[in-house]
Amino acid sequence: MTDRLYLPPNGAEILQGDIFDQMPSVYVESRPLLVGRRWKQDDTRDIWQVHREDGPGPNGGFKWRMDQGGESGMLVHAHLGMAIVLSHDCEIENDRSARTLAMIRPIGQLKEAAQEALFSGRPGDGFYAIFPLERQTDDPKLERSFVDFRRLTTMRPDVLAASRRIASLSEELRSAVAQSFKLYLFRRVERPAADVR
Amino acid sequence: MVMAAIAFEEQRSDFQFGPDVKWSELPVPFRPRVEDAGVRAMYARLARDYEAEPTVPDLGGGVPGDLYQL
Repeated sequence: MTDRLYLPPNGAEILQGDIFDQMPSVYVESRPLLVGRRWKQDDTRDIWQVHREDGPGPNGGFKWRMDQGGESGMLVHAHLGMAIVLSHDCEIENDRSARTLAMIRPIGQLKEAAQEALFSGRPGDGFYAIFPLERQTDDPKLERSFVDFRRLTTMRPDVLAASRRIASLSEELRSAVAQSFKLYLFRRVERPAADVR
Repeated sequence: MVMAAIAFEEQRSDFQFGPDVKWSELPVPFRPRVEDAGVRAMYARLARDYEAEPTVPDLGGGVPGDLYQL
């Protein structure tokens, strides 16, 4: 049997490389920003007012600055889907504030030629911004998909604790994702000799 | 197990692992080089590069002070 790429989550401890389902991935699409403030509540709904950042603003004004605590109800685009924890294990152990997750997308969102390149494994082929996740038919099952390093979302640890974790990565795959993420952000690009000064 | 890996490096073309030896269980410096294409070969290559990086001191994690509030 081939070594498994994805393993059942191991105990309560969340680790770098753990995969969650139904996780929010948020994205600021445009300006002016839209800020929601709760107006009233009835039996089934919270009713909010929405204020444009370039408009008159809510009573008391916006609270954008750090010392004002920020606005907690900004309207942004979001998906719910799989996501992978990128925070380092040491940060997970010691940082009470933030966890960073990257969106995992279905392979069908790439054109066929891009799918082939991504999963070819050929050095120099593929893409730095995305990482291929091979299909696994054993539990925990995963369809072919890819990590989108461009789509990071930060959230409080409590959000993870209240969410569904479906898999952890094998040690080798964890290292591969880490190296790939590092290359995405900090790769040193080869340049023609003529460009080197 | 390590000796088996060294032997593999030296006689890559005809060495056979025993049934109880898995690549993933070998210490990274002794894993065979994977030169075939394929996504699993890419995983092995990236992992080898990652684990070959110098390590840094363990400073724990997080930041001092109360930055829990956004």
